[in-house]
Amino acid sequence: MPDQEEIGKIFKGLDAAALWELAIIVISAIVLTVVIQRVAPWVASHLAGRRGLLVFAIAPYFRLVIILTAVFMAVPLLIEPSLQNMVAILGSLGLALGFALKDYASSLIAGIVAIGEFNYRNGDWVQLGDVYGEVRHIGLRTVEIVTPDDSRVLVPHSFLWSQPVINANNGDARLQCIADFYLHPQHDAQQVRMALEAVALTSPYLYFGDPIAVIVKEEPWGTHYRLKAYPIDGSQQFRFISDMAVRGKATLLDSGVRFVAANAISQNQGW
Amino acid sequence: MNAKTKEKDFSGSDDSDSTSLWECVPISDYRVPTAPADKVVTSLWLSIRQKYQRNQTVDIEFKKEQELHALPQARLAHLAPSLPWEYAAAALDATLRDWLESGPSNHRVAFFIGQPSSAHEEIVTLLGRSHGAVEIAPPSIEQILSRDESWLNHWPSSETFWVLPKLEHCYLRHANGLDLLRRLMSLAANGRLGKGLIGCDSWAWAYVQRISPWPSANAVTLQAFDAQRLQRLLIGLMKTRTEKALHCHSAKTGQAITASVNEGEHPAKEFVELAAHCRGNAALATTYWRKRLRLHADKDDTSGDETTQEDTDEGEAVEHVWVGEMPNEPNLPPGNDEEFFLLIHAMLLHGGLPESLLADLLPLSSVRSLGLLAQLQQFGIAHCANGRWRVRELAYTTVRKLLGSHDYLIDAF
Repeated sequence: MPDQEEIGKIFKGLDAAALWELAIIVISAIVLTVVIQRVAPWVASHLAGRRGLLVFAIAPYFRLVIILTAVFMAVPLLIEPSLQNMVAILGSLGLALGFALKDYASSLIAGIVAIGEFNYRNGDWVQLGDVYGEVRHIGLRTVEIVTPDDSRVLVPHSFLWSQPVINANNGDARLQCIADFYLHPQHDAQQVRMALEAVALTSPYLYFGDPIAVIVKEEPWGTHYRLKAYPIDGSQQFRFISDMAVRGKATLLDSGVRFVAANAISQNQGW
Repeated sequence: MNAKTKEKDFSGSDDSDSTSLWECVPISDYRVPTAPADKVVTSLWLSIRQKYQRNQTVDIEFKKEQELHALPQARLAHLAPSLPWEYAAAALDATLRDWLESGPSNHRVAFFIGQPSSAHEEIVTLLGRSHGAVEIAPPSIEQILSRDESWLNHWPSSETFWVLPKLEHCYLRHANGLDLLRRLMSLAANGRLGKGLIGCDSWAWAYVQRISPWPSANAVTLQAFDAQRLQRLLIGLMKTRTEKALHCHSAKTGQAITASVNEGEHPAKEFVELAAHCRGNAALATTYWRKRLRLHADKDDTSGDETTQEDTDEGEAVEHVWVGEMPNEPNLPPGNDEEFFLLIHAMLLHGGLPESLLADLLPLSSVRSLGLLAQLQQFGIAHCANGRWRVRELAYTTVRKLLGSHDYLIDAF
C-alpha cells in the first residue's frame, strides 16, 4: 500500500500535546468569534450615527482574521508544511469542494469577497432580489437581513455572483428617503414645490446636512412629485417617509390641490 | 448706557483696565472656553458611566462636602441673584452704536443671538426702550398657522426704529408655520421693514438659518464668559450684595477664591471647570453656581438666613461661603430615546413648546407626548413655565451633548 504510506507521511502523528494545542486554538477561535459577535452589536447600539455603524460593520472582518489565523496555526500541527504536501492537500480539498460542496464553497468564497469588497456591511440597508432590509449579521455562508416587517431572511453570499446588490446607505448612517405625491395636473407647480420643501424642513426626523430635492414629472394622468430628503438615522426611514407623507398631504389639501384618484405609474423609473 | 462704567460699579473691583465683563461680538467670534485635559477625561468617564448606568444614581460628592449645607433660599437669592442684563444691553448698545446712530436711511436689520436662558428678549427690549424703539410682539399661534400677513402689514413705518425680541416665537416647525418667517426675512433683507433689531435664541437661529439664510456679519451675540471673567462676575456679584467681608473658599481644597483675577493669574479651578462645562453661558453658569454654594453645618446660623459668620480682629463681620462640587446632571428616562429627543429638540427650537401644539409639530399623539413630558419632568429634564415646556438649565448641557452626538441640529454656542 504505497499510496496510503505516502498519505500517511503528509499528516503528522498527533500526540497528546499537539491535540491539546489544536483544541486550544479551536476553542480560542470560537470564543473570540462569539465575543466579538456579541460585543460589537452591543457597543454599536450605544453609539450614534456613523461611529455605531463602523463598530457594527467591523465584526465580520475581525472574525475573518480570527478564522484565518486559527487555520494558519492549526495546519502545521496536522501536516508537514512542505510545498509538496500543501499542493497535495489543497488539491484534494479543492476537488472535494468542487464536486460535493460546490454551492457551499461558492457561498464561502463569495462571503470573503463581500467582506473584502465592502458590498454590504452590518447596519447597511440593502436590497438583494426581492428582499429589502437591514444587514444584521454577515456569516461565513449567508448574510442575515431583517426586513421592515421584522422578518429574518438569510441570503447566501453566492447571490453576489449573478445578482445586483442595491445598497441604500453604503456604510453611511443616513440614506435617502422618498415620499411620492400624485396630483391632479391643474395646480401651481411652483407653489407645490415650495410647500413640499417646507414639509421636509418641518419634519423632526430631517437631517440638515444633506440636501432636500423635489422632483416633478408630468405624466398622462397628472403630476408626480418625489420629495427626497435624508433622515437623521437610517433606522428612521419609514417613520420619516410616513411623516413627510402625512404632513405633505395635509398641506396640499389645505392649499386646495387635488390628488389623483388612480394612476398607472410603473415602479423603479430611475429618477 | 456705558457698559464699562457700570461694570466697574457692579463688580466692585479695582481692575478697571482689565477686559470688559460684558462684551458683544459677531457670532463667528464666539469662543467657547476649553476644559483642562484632566476634566475632559473625567467628564468623558462620567458621561460613559451615566450612559450605561442610567437607573443608578451617581454619588460623586466628597466626604468633606457632606459637612456643608446648601444655602437657604433667601440667602441664595441675595448672594447669587439673576444676572444684571442691563449691562449686557449696554454692551450691545456699544457694539451697535454706529448703526444705531446712523440715519433713518440705513435700513439694515440687525440680529442679537442669545444663548439659552441668556435673556436675549430682555436685552433687546432694554436696548429698544433706551432708544425709544417700537416693540413688536410675535404673531399668535393662529396667525402663524393661518399665514396671516396682517401681522406684517401693521409694521411700523420705515422711519421708525423697532425691536422684535423673540424671533423664536414667530414660526412653528409646521408646513404652514414657516411662511410668515420667510416673508419677514425677505422684507428685512430688501430693507422694506426699515431699521430694526431682532432678538433670537441660538437654537432658533440655527433653524432659521436653514430656512432663510442670513449673513452672519449682521448677527451679534454675548461673548462667552471664560473662567477669569466668570470668576470676576460671580464673586464680584456676591461681594456687592453683602456689607460684610465675604470669604469664598473651595470646598475641595480650602483655597480662597477672590473676585480679582489679574492678567497672568490663573483663575480658580472651579471656574475653569464651570466656564468650560457651560460653554461660556453666564446664565447657565449662575444656575450651577447657586447649586454649588455651601455653608458649614456646625456654624450655621439657626435663623437659617445667614451664611457662616464671625468677626475679625478689627471687629468687621466676616462671612464664609464654600464652593462645592458640580451638581449631578439628570439622565434621560428609560424608554425610547428617539421620542424624548424629538420632544426636547422641539422645545429648544421653539424657545419652549406649548402643550396645545404637541400633535401639530410632532409625529406623536398628544396623549403620548404628554406622558413623555411627564417623565421628562420627573427626571428633572423639562418643566412647564408660562404655558411652555422648556429644558431645565441643569439638564441643558447633557441634552445638548446627546442631541449633537445623535446628529440633531444644534446651536453654534
